[in-house]
Amino acid sequence: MRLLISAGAVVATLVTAGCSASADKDNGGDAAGFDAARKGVVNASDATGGTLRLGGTSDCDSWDPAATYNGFCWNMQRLMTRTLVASPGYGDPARTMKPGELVPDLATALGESNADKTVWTYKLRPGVKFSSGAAITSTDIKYGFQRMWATDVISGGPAGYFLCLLDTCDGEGNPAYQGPYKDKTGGLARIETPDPQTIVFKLTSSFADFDYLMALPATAPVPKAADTGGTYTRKVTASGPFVMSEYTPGQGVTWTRNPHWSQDTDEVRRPKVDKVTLTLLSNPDDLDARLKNGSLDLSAGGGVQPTFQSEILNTASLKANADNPVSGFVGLFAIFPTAPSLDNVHCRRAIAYALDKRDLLVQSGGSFGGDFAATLLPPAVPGHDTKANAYPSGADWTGDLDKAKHELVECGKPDGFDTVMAYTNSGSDPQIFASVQAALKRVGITVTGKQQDESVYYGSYIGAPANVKQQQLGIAAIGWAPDYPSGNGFLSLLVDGARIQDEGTTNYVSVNDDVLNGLIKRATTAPLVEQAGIFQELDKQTMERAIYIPYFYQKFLLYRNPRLTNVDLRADLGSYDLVNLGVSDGK
Amino acid sequence: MPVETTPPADPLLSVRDLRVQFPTDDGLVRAVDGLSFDVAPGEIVGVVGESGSGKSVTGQAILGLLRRTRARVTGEIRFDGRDLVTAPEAELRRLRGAELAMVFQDPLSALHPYYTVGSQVSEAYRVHNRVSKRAARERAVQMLDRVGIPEPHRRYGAYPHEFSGGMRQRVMIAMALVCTPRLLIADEPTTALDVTVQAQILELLGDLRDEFGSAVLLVTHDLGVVAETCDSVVVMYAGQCVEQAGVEDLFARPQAPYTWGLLGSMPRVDRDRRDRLAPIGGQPPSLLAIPPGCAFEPRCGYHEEVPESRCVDERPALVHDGQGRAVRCHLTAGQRLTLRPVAP
Amino acid sequence: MLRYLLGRIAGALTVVVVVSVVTFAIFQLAPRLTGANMAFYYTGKSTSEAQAAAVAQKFGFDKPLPEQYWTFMSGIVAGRDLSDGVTEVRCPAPCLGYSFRQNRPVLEMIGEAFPVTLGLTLGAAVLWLLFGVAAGVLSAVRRGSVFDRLATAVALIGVSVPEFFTGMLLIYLLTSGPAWLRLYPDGINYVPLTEDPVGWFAAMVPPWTCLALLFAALYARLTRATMLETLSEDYVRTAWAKGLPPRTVVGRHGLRAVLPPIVTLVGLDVGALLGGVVLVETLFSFPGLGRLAYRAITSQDLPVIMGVTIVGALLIVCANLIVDLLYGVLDPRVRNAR
Repeated sequence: MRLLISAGAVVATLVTAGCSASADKDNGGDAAGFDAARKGVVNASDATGGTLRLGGTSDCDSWDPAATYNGFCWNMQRLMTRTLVASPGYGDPARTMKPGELVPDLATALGESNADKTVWTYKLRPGVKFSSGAAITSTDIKYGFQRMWATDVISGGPAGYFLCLLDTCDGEGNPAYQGPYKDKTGGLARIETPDPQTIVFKLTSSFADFDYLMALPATAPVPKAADTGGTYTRKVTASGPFVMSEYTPGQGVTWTRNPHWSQDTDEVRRPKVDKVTLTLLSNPDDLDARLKNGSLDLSAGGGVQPTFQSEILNTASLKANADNPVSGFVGLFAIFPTAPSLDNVHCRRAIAYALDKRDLLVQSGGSFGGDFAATLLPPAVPGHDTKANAYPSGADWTGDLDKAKHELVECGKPDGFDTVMAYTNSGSDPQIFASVQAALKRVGITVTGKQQDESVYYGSYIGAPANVKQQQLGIAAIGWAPDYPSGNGFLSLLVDGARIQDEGTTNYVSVNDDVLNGLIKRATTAPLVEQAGIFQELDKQTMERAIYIPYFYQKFLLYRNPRLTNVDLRADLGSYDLVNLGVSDGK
Repeated sequence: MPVETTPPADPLLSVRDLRVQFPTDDGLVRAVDGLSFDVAPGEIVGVVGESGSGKSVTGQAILGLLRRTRARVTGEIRFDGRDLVTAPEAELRRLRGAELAMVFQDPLSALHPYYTVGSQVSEAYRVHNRVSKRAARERAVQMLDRVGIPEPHRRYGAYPHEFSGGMRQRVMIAMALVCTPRLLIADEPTTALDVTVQAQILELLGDLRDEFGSAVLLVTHDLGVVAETCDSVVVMYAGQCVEQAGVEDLFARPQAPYTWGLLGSMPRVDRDRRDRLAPIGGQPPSLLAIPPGCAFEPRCGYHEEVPESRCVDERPALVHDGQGRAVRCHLTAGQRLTLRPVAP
Repeated sequence: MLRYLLGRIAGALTVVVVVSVVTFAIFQLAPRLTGANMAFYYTGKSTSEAQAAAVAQKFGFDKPLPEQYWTFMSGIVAGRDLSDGVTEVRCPAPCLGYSFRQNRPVLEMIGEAFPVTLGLTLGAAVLWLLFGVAAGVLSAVRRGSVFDRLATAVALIGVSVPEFFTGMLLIYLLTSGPAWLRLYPDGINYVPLTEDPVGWFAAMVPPWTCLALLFAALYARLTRATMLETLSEDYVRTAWAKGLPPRTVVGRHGLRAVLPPIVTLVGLDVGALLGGVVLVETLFSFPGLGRLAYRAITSQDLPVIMGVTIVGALLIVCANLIVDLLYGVLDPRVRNAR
């Protein structure tokens, strides 16, 4: 239940929107300029027509809504698939955007749950139709879920959230239901469809932020008649305003308007353009060149390359068309109490103080590539505390060596100690290791490195407590991002004592602490409004134990074509709401 | 030099004060250093010397083949009244192959490996004669037949590597004579061949001279070849002519000590096995730094006979006796008579 | 000659089989050595161990390697029946495998990508041969001239400047450079030849240039060196002595001798490029074999990687065979030696 980010596939989904830092009083207005879309709506306009031309550097892992696990693909799913609930439509200056907000989409209201958050009921809006013209019923929603259980056919999506939440699993975590291809009898009794307009989910355990799961594109309806199994990615039946009319794998996609979609049934989307194209270029610099000359409107995949980045930052006319939002991705270190010396919290804190976060930020892409991080929860997740900083790194963020040395004395190792750091071979991880090594050397902590291939790193290397112990790992570099803007989908995974397992655990440091466990348990049934407070406390408690130390919140430098209208990144949205963008020249 | 209209008896080729110099990084190489000789129509003139004596360069200079190199060619090469040194390239090109032809030492490398021998012969014909391919082919086959290639029709389409060395040289000769040139320059035509084949090729050259009336400039290091073939001889050493004579004269009364040495190193059937070969000791001088005196002096056994070390200080002039003989040596005529090794 | 030909073909086939075994071994053993489950290369990252086991069983990863290899190879000859979970899929012979990531037969993907690479390679080869050989010959004939020095300098630059640099420069200049150079304001986009020949040609010119620049420089240097050597050959002196005009001497006698090494090199270069012009295809986003392979590698789509590798090896082996045969045609000495 997590999303690990490699350099190539960065997540910045619409649903990661939201934060506690509502310092910017966001209200509408045509405030074009650098970061204008983060402060208000750029070029608000009702003009319709034209083509939105997107560019990307890699094709989606799948266009099948149930089989994709990539932020930029989730963002584009919003063009063609609808879910029971969704984040609100951006681009309307009249509407104040609240962080992490959800609104009903196919449903008439947000989910209604019982007291212990185990039964969730949704009513469908009448009159919603697929691109085939057929009405969307609760059976189609359920069928969309059923497909996820056919893990041998539909793979790669966020099915892990649902398999054991909506079905009984055996000891090994395998659900009983085999999916609609093997099990033709119906099945998945925990999802009930008493009538075509009603769907009821009966969960195996409490899940307070179930609505967030219902906003994942994987929950989009699929008509059984049009299901082509593994090849559904090539012909997705649309429920949203756009339908895939042309798709050449690896080269591009064209969406045209879905004639059966009606504005009357949709409060989230206000599509302006007639057509959306996605051109896939394997050369990211070529993509930037096309953004610059205006032949493409936006990069669907995130930030620009370093060359274009510096050009943007040094050219006023370009900079006025750029935004620099946080992506939701957090760079952090796990500090393993299982390692020699590090069983003492003071030794762990010494590391926290001694880190040179300024250098770590430089190694991770500089100030337009990220912000200093002091809490585990990033700005996009409710519970993020802008003021908290458990281990201040000094005024210039290069580390507080006095405090670090003091902690070492407390720990009984005034001269420092030796430890081992694990890191992957991808992205800037090797540089991150070098930075940590140099920074800790300043207080006498000697770090040696262990590099691992990314493909096995999280699962069987640092994700296997036995291995962590055997390798005497003291520190591990981790890339972490929420699938949806909730501490449950982000922080709980790291510290939940119930998640300790032999392999593939996300509780890397194997912490099993009553205080932390208690907070997590409270969060599972607490109402949404209380969640932020609980997770802020969980963040604080975790930081106090110095088992995870964050160092950077990733930021993207996004470039938008000046002809785009209704451009909106308010409330710490990490990427533009594509479905509501328009073009001013009607082309 | 008197300019006169050329009566038939006049030489076909007249070389005067020919100098060929190659500028190199180490200095100026004087490959030919003031060479003069004549070739009469139909005459076979041998140019003899050790390797590096400038004999091959002389042949190439006459054909103008040195024009594409860095070589500086000065002096006069008068062919049928025209000065080839100053002639425009286009005129030279018309003469090459047509009036002046050349046979090279190694026929394997001198023939193009990727073209059939027939096409190479007929190409030589077509470039100077406006004839159809078929006519050129007939002519080539005829020539191949004439030089003694068996089954010339079939062998026309064969490649050089499919021939023996002697046959290849016959092909070269056929190619050179296909336009019936008035002067054939044969540069060591038999060196790469074994003795029996050598004799056949030389005989062929003589026959062809008789048949086509071509004069031949035979460049060789082998006095034996000269003795069998030539009418007159030019002996070269370090780029200069050291002796010039009719072939019988030369063998009967060689004048220059260098010629004596060459004759001494000549294999002869009537010699004693023991002293059958007596090569000249030492090495020829570097052409970069030819001694100021006699170029042969360091190797010459007779320089003490000349007083006041003139051989070291003073370069001897080529002295003509007015009867077609010339010699370059400080020894007096009398000394040469007494010092000359007795002909066996 | 026929016996030689059959021998060569048998040899080539052996090489292909060996390559297929090695490729198969590398791609099947490497994940085992690193401890990763093969099934994960076929499914997504949220797959549980038990699901992976099911997938492994379905695709036969639990069978012994030789048996898997046999299944793979017999698939090439006889085709295979596969399932994408909903419908049975027949992967007809020659079946190079099936991408479960993309739910398509590998051969189909290669079949789509190959024409792009073929067009790229052949077009570029024509360009680099024209310019490279011409420049090399002129340089050799006018050795030491201004042209020669200029050409040598340009060739040095061409050889030492990497393709991605010239490629990026071309893209930048042609799509967002100065207005008079902005010949491709909408970007350089591949169009299939069958759809729009003119558009195809227009799109091909920049990548051709990019590829040809490098190779033309290489070929110019090779041609110049070989030509110089040839021009000092005795048979060229013979050609001059025949009274042939310079055009004939250089063009017929000189160039003819330079041909075999150039043809050899062209054959090998084209063969290698046909396996995928990875860099140029990726730079220009052309959907050729190179980009197919690159995408397959980044998405760890093993069947596609294996398919492209085997096809690439096959192309190189074929190119070698053709070069050998051509050599026999071009060099009569070689021809007769057989």
